[in-house]
Amino acid sequence: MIEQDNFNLDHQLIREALQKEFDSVETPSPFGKWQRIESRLNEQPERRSLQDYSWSRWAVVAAVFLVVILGGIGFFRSIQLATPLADSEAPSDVNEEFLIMEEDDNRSEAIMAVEDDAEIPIEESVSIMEEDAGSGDGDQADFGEVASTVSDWPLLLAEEYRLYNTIILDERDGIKSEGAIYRSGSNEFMLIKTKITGQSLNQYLQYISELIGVDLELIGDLDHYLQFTVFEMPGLAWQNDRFDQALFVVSGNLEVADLEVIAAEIEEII
Amino acid sequence: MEPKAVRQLVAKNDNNSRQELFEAFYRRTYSIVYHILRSHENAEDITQDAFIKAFQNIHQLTDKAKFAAWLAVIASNLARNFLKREKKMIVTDELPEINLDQQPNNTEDEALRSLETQIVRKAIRELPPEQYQVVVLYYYHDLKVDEIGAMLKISPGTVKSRLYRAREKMSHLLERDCIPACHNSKGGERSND
Repeated sequence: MIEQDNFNLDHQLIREALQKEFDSVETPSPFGKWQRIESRLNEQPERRSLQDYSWSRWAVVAAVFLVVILGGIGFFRSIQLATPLADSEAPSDVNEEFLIMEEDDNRSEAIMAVEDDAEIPIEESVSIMEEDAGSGDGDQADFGEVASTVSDWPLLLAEEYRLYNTIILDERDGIKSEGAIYRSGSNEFMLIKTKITGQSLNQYLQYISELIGVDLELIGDLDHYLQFTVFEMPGLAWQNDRFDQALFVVSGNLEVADLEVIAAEIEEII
Repeated sequence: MEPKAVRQLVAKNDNNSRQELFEAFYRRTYSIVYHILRSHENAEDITQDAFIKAFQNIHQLTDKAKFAAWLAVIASNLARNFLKREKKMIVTDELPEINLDQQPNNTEDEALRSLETQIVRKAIRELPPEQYQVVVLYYYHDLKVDEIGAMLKISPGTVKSRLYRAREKMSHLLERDCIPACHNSKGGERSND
């Protein structure tokens, strides 16, 4: 695909142009800056203890798990189901926590990649419920039942967050909302996916709030996301042509920037 | 800095080695960040953050000779994120003017090359950050498409499409601005992976 053009657009020319661009920038002297970096590197990393978790954080953990547990037996079944997933190996040996920053792989690029016979990494996405499927589209799942028909949840997000649990949250009036909890160490977030209904993101958040029984505080737009908090923990909601989706931190110290990265990855996959 | 020396410094990872790496790669890293942000003040901060992140996570770098490319990824990702978050607040500085080489060109070929370089530089400046990022990694750091995909956590197809678009833009400018003499294909393109 990166074939030779009719012009002299060869590798060396682009390299030379880049080198000239780099050289043209007036760069401040690095001297003196090293000390600042050195002191920041030498700072003792923040250690989180149980005491660091505020009651509000425990509250949201409790709320989310209450949703799951009240939902019924699905919880225990899905734990059994999720165990081998949690033990599965990441598909890549790259584990750069800070590299989860690819934020704007937009849809057109994904489409273009497909047109180019590119491999979109959908192998991470798997229908974990295939064995439980078979009830067909017409079946009504109970609230909290293990999701059984719709989702291909990615097993791994941002290289470290493993799918821990999935549930059906709502199937009223043909609306289908499903949730998945992802976990890495003490960090957990919940991803909720709802078949698109034409409602606004604000309305969607209101709906989510009722669904999980906790208040969501609206923050505002962040790119094409709508930012909110749940017990002061960050969350993002967005829409595409198929789903309304919300992502929010359940426990740990994930920040909104982390969620943006994860959301961007989800947008590519789902 | 030679890859072997880089590998040794990264492996050593003591304070002196880190300082040496910092001084060796500061300028280039700063330039990459600056081209994305177009703001000296922010470029300084982001460049420092990039070094800190790199040093804090250096154990995750598997091929230690690729420190520069890895650092470029971290820096450009940070810059892109910053740009997305703060784009309404950033006051952009002007990039330096692109002038033809000051040295006299001895031959017609040299003059032509200088003109081509100038045009490609203009095109590079017009690339959106995500395309600029892969162009730097592919053409400057000589990473393969798969390697770039792994580092950026995007599919090789997405890398290819970004490169394709970037090349399209550069080709278009060359076609538009270059004199007919530019059209003598010389080859030399790196084979695709």
